[in-house]
Amino acid sequence: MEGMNDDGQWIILMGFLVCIGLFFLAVVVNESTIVGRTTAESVLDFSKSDIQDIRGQVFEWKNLGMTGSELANSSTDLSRLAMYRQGARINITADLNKITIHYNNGVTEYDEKIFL
Amino acid sequence: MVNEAGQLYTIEAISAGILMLVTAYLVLSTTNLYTPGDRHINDMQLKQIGNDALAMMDAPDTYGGTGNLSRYLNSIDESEVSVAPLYAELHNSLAKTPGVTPDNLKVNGTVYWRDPSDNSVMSRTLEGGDIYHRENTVTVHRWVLTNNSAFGDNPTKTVLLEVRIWRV
Repeated sequence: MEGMNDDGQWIILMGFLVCIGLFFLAVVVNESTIVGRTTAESVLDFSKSDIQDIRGQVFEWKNLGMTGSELANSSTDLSRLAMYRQGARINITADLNKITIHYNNGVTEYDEKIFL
Repeated sequence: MVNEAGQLYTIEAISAGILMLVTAYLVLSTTNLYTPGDRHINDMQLKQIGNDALAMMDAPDTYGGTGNLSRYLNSIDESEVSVAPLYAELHNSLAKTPGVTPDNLKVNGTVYWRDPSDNSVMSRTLEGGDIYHRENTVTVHRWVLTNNSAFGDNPTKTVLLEVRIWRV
């Protein structure tokens, strides 16, 4: 170290520390690009809209005052078409004071009893 | 006792070592590429806006009224001239800025219904949609209540509107 000026060592050390800190921040930014992946998968797998849609439809039937065979027909429509196009098992029973909704697409299962 | 000479070299060596390790780690972990397998991030967003658009179109303007989807499906006849407003409204709902030419989304709708006589499922593609060439699509569904006799003999029936959405 002869003839070498050893002033300012702390400044140099701090400079290095800042560099290392920046590297770690770059790693964090780098990771952030893949954050959406698992979230998107979960959202796609979960049939939230389908279930909401079924509930809305059943309430619409009730609002229209459907009963008896009309209701049974619509319920069969739903079961048949859901099995055919959505791969989901839907079973709806509705009588005067109670609606039960059963939904199962193999991944998500949903059961609801609504007392009117 | 410890000699104080060479402190700077020691610090430099340690720092350089850490720096090299971090660099190596960074380089190795930078190999995340946006592959076609990651399309489901876009698919999820497309599916969300698709479901939202159909829900909006199905919502009646007034309490107890008929939603636009039901209205469009009710007015379909053999000539199918009345499907154009359905597609127009769908495009408008999906667009980033309503009224402006939408971003490059294509849609294509099919109606499925149950034939009460033999319980079979019938379908009818709604004319006027975009032609599908096996692009990567998302499919959204909406149950629609209709009294159109084109969709089976029951006076009131629930049909399934299936809309394919894809980006070109």
